[in-house]
Amino acid sequence: MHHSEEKPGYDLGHPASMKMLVGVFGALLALTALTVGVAQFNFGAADLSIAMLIATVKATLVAVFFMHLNHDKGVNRLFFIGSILFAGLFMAIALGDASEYQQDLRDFEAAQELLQK
Amino acid sequence: MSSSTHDDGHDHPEWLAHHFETPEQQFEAGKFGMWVFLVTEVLFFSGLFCAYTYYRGNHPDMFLDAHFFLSTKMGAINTAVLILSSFTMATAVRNAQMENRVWLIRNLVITIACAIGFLVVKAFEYSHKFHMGLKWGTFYNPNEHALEAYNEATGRHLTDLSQLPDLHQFFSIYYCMTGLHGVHVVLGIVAISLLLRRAIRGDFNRYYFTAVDGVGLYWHLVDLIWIFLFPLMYLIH
Repeated sequence: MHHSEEKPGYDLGHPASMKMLVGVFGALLALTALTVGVAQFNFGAADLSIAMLIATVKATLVAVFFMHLNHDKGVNRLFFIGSILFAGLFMAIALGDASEYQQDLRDFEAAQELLQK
Repeated sequence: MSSSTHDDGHDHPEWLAHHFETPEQQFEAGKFGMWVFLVTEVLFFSGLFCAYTYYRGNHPDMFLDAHFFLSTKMGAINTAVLILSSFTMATAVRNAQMENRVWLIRNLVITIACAIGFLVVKAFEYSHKFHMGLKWGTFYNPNEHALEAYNEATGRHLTDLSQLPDLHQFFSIYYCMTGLHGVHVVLGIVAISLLLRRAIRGDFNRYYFTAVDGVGLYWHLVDLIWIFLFPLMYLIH
């Protein structure tokens, strides 16, 4: 078992409680069932947002409890959250750039059609 | 615990590397390295998620049609299997910390079994799609089985293959994303098997479980990526 009165530098194992692990496991399974259930209904444009919201909650549970970010050092948290923010930045810039050229693409396709006639 | 004696004036246990002062320093250094690796993994996958978003944004109808060829049931089963494996991996770390070797070994075995189960389900899905000619890029060549499956799923009565929607871009993205994820599952099985060997040998104790923790972090990330892949691929309506 864990001893908290270790000498300095030997206090590293903090076993997660079984109750918490089982709880997170149950929550992840319940959220999977929820996302499958919700997908059977049509919420129009909100469908994707709902599915992504549930996935984000599940991912947060995994990161915080299974990957024990709740007890981890700030620098590890910063790196991981930073990687997700940078992935978002990457996607935002790539997609923003792509949408800039949508009109050009449509013009090109229209011109191609005209040429084929 | 066995110790090795050095010429250069100090002893340290076998599991504490020479260049570390304390087990805690060793553990934190190893874990930090693992997180940096996971950062590169997130960025690595983000390219594919970007491609997905771009193509779905431009061709929402293609993604809608493609879901008729994917089995939500298979995807949901695999999601549950991966979540179970993540749970057993988390308990494996706990047992390594508590020096419960028997349950550490059991948890690692269950984790490997789940990972293999995931790949078996995936293999069934892939072979079913290959059978219909639904492959990637220029290999995309749907046959009458695809037509049949499409008619059955949609209730339509298409008679000619040319009436089928062209889904080659979707399937290219599908195979890239699930394939790369599958490669990570295979590498995870290798890594966890090596852990299992070391666990049986009795390498881990409450001052040294870095390897179990590190592989655990990797395995949870593989699960985390699947958590997003599942709704993006299987739950389009």
